[in-house]
Amino acid sequence: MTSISRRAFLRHAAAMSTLGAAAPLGLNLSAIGKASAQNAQGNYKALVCVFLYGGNDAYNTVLCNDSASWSAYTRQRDPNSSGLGNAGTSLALMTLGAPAQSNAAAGSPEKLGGVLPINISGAGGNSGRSLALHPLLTDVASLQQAGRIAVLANVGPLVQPLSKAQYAGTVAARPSKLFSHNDQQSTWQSFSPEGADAGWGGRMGDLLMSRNGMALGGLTPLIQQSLTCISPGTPSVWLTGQDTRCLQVGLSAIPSIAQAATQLGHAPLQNALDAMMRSGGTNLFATDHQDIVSRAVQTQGLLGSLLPSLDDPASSAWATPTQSAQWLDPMLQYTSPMDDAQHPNPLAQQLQMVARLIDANRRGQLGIERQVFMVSLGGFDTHANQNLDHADRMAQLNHALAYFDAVLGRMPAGDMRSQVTTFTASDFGRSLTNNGDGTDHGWGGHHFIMGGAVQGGDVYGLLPQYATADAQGIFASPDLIDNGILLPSTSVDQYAYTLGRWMDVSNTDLLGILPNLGNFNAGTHNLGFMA
Amino acid sequence: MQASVRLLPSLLPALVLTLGALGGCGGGGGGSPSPTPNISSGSGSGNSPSATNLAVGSASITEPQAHRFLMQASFGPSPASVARAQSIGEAAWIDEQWGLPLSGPTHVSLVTASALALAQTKPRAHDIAFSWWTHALTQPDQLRQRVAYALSQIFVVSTGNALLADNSRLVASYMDMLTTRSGGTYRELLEGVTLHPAMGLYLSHLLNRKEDTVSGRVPDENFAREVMQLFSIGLHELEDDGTPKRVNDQPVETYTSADVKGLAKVFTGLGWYRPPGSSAVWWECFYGANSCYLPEQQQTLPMGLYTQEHSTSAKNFLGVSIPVQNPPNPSLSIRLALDRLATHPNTAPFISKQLIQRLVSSNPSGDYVRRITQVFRSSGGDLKVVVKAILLDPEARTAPQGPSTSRYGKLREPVLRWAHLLRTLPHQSTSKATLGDAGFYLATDTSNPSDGLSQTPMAAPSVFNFYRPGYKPPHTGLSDQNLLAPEMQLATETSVVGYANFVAKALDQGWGLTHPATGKPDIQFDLSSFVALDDTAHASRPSPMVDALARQLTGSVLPTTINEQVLAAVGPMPRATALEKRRRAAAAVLFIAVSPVFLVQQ
Repeated sequence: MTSISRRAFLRHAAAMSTLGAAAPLGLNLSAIGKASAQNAQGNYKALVCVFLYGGNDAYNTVLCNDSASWSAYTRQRDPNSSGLGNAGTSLALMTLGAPAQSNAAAGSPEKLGGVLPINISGAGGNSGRSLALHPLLTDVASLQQAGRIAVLANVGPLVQPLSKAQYAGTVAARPSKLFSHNDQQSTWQSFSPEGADAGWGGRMGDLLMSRNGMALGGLTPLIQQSLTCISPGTPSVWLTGQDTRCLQVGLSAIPSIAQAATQLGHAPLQNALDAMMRSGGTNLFATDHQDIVSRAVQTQGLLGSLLPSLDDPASSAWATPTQSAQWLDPMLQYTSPMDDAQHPNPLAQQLQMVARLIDANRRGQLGIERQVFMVSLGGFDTHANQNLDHADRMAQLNHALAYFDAVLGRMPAGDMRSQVTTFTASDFGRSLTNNGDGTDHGWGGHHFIMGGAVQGGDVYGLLPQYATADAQGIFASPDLIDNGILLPSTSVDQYAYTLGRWMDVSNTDLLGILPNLGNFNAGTHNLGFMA
Repeated sequence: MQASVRLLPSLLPALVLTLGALGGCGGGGGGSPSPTPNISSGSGSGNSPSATNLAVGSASITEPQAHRFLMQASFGPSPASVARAQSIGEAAWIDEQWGLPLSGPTHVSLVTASALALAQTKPRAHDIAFSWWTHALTQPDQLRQRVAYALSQIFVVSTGNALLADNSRLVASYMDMLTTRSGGTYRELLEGVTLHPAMGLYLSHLLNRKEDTVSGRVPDENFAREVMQLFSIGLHELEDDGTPKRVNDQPVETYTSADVKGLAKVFTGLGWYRPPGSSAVWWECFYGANSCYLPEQQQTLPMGLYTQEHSTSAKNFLGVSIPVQNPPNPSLSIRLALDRLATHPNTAPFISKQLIQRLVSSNPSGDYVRRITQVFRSSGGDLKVVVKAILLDPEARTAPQGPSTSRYGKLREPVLRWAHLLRTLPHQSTSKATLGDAGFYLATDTSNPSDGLSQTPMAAPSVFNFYRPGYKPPHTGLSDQNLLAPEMQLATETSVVGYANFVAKALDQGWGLTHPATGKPDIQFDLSSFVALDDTAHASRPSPMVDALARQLTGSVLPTTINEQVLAAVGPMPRATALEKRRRAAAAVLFIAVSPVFLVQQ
């Protein structure tokens, strides 16, 4: 153990000792010796979910630009393509190679220019297709072509494989409360509508946590239950387990109640305040609140001093050294198509915290081998003003993913890109139909998986067959239901299974936490996008 | 108004720094401070039985009772409101409150004044926070204000939407509408919500055009879906006690995608307000062109109904069939739809239970919900009557006894705790004091859970509010007993600590944007009357000060254990200087503010 990390270890040990009776079992100092023998990050793997709240428009994120698809797409997305004037705002992005027109309206397809081609092998059922990305996903396109990003086509919640005919009937099982934001967010995360008490990220945490913090004696339970699953974003059910709890941290700090004591000029207030916030009464609202405070105090005591500060030299991997204010850091700013100026990117800010937390494990030699993180970005519910709003979200997503890939490539422990897999998820995709200047709630959507362990440079799953609506609004495609909504061809269970296997959750365990998986042919469980 | 209010330009740099780019989609609209419903239903707002037959709330009450009542019925008990409620009792206090005229500046006038004072071209997201806190803390019609806030958490619009953040006059007008209509019928409220341009922008039915089979354009389904899921009937058929009906042990969904599509056609043809007799071409008004009317006016008036963009085809939803219309009749379509939603059997329990949760407790008994549901129905959805029945119900008025104590009540959301502290403790906003009647608190955005309150009023993350009414925190004592705790959705490891640090800092340094005249945060607490009780004789055990604070904040002295903890914490603090003495009082407030007696409303 280096002198720095030994000091850090002793510092957090000291912090733990202030916890009094509520602290975990006494720290066994001999654990330091065991901890020092551990490989800092060699056995480490982390899964990072990027949840796009509101329902990302998959049709304008990943585009099929083979001619038949493109023709149907432009016909539905550009109402003026019918020849009718003033029929609505075109949501059809420009074709491959179309030049960007700098004087066009902000966010308009003309201003953005042509879609960006990406690689597709044509394997599986995707022969003859060609693929492109939203014009602002420049770095995502490069990463896909460099083999570190894969596309998963038309994935969504399913109970079982479901044909369009089965969907039209009433017998075949399908997820309940389709098209409802909160319920489909929950279904993506937990396989049931709002009200679920555990999600598959948290359940994976349950199954993996025994690998974590084993050499740290009395701290082991705390590390396993509270540091396996962490989110600097919006609280959500995905990271809630049966045994693991999702630790909710701040964007740039893990606050301590020492601040309140310091504010009032009397350090001993900290322990008294801690005791007050963790005691009193039998009312369940109070005692449950106290449990949250207990977890906050314990995790802060352990993690607070290990989190590298933004002006620490090690932080140059994820921050600009001279800029300690997170929201002013140019590394965390993206170029918004709203005004072509730089703005703080909340998604990159969260991913910065994830990088710092990963490094805190190394600094503290906590011996965490598996972690699950969740970050999120809102504003994808593009019923109106879609061109500009969606372009802005795409710019944020593009910048954040590129930032995180670069950071992981230069972590203090070395290149960790093969140890961290990042993937996107969202409430649902959106309608192919245009409602005038936006799109409505859908079902299936396309998603990205990023990392060094990803078999990138291709598309997985089955790309949908495009079609145009007839006079009754019917789409002659097996993949498109009302409004041109995508009927998923791949289930969230299969998506989760493929990621879970990479995290080394066993086949049996995954069958236990993915309730619909058994309804799909075993040969299709692993989608193959992970090495 | 207030053209002379120009003393604050030096605030601008600080403000610019605090204005983050807000994502989100949706719209912004306007509001109607005194809206004249143009498509009112005939559905009744007749005289309804008030809850005065209940044998509670009719006489003078004790100080703790008044405190408890005012935590439910206002933004927090002030010494004056406690005295008033004590002397006349709950029922008379409610009647008196509903009888108060709408007075004082409107939200629109306050955000207009603050935008002017800050040399902005229009009100922005921060201005609605100024106005919201000013109303919550200083308006005498506390019940109306508190109910309006509860309604704003059911019928949500948010400055999280970039368009509404960019022009918060719309949100201000929407709040004025909610405030006005909080004392009317649900049907009138639903119409105000439906036609307000802030909602029109937020849920994008403003500028919603009829379907077009040639181009393939379809109506926007956003408002049609959410007005059912969130504003009226909810997802499942309900019993009158608020629980889901079950058929074959399964809940029954209230609507299908086909209902959404049918209802989406109803909400086509809504554009910006068109003044009567306007000579402008219809589409100039529809799109809000200056040639039709001043945008500032349109932002505060109900959306206009344009036959030219209203769907003419048959509209089928929730068992209602509106036949083909020739000529198109948006007013009729919307009236029929809102009548259907307002009288759907689900609406009374769906709205009643949520109002109980916002004001009184997270887990009302089925009987309580049924009683309010019946009042909702018999009164024609008269919200004054419904709110009175909620607050005078025996389950609201009788403090819990025995084992049920552990299950009763609600976690108070951070914004309400902070409002309570401000209403209860003496303080001054220099901005408010300087500007007189049109003055406003220079409140800050409090959204950051690390060092704030995890929420800023009128800035919910989405139309699903800051928290969900059915939220059950997983793997907790509450969920073990199948209990709901909506506000617990805001309680995280970060936010519970952030709250304590926020309160400590605000008590010590003040709260708000830095006021140029003082160089300090605008809102400064004056704890001198409590410091005066912290005399030398009680230095190590400052009971007189702690007791006085406890009475002011909670209506009675603290429970023994908590009291001893506070005394043991504050006693050893130094008291040599004025600052140290002040900090002893601040510490006592902080300890009470994080204690269960303050966090949990019982």
